[in-house]
Amino acid sequence: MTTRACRSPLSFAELADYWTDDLDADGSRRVEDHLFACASCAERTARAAELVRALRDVVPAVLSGERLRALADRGVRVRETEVPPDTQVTVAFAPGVDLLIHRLKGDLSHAFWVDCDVLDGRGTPLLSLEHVPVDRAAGEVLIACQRHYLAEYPPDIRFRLSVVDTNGAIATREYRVFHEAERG
Amino acid sequence: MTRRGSPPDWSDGELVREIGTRGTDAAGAERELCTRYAARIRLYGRRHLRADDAADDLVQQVLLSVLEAARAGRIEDPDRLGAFVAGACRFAAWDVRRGEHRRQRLAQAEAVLAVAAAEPGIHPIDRRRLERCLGHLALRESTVVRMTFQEDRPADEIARLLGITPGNVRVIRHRALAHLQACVENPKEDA
Repeated sequence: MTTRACRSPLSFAELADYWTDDLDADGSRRVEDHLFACASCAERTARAAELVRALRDVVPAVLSGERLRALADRGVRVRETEVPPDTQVTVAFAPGVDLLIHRLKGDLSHAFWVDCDVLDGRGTPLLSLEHVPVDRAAGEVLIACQRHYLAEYPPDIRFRLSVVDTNGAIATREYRVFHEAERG
Repeated sequence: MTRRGSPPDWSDGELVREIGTRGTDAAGAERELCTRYAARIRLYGRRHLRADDAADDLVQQVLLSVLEAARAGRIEDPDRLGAFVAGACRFAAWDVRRGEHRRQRLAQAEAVLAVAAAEPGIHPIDRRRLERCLGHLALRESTVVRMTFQEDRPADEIARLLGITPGNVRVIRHRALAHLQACVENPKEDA
């Protein structure tokens, strides 16, 4: 059957809110009633749903300990390395490893929030992340490095943490990780 | 009203009436009804039951109950089949959540089994492309997306962390999702 165009299509905002649980019960019901009566909007919501599903699957560059445990529970093979501030470590991506975790260590007990900049070895910015997950008790930020990053990023990477305390003072720490592929 | 073509060309009402009157194309009409609604029921299941296998079960349950109602002439307004299916979904999801759903009677419904086993016709998103598209977002958009989908934070909490209102969070997220959808569906935007 050819899908007929909808005369009063649901807005993208409504579809997004539906899939992120930001509609109240009446709003959700109204969206659903429309979707079951309208093949065109149902097709659009399927695409939005697939996007949301894919986003939930993305492994973020900085992750929480809880997310790391969930990945390990799903069978993701992880190699972890502690990286003290102002040092350089070399980490090899062994053939059986899916994910490298760099534990960037430091006193974060007074951190209100932490931003993380990723730079190449010469200091060129590659990526900026604000308000990253922090384990204040353990004093660490967890960086997740996936295998395909080896092809997409240079091997020499610097991580700069900007730790903002409750008074607004900023302390900056830098970490350097040299990545290499280990042959099996 | 003159009916044209084969079941895929028919309206919802025509499908229901053909099934109810045991017409010569009743089997085809049942298949078409299942094909037309399976993906929508599956999405409803994913949204409310939060698990793919539970959503697949829901597809079978709902389609079977809708077919039984159509065969018995219990769908009051055949032209509003969508509303009937939505109601059946709500009841079945409630039943699944109570843990009392039953899978019996499925063998009676060949069309249900064939369609329910099929995946919906939505192409999965290329995860690498999505990662690259995420890299093109503005910093605040990417933060809201990360906090929402990868850290499972509600809008209120994100708003508090970022010092903005929950309404701002939703607006930023709408914009980010629209950019991401355009980017993943159009390789030119992923340059």
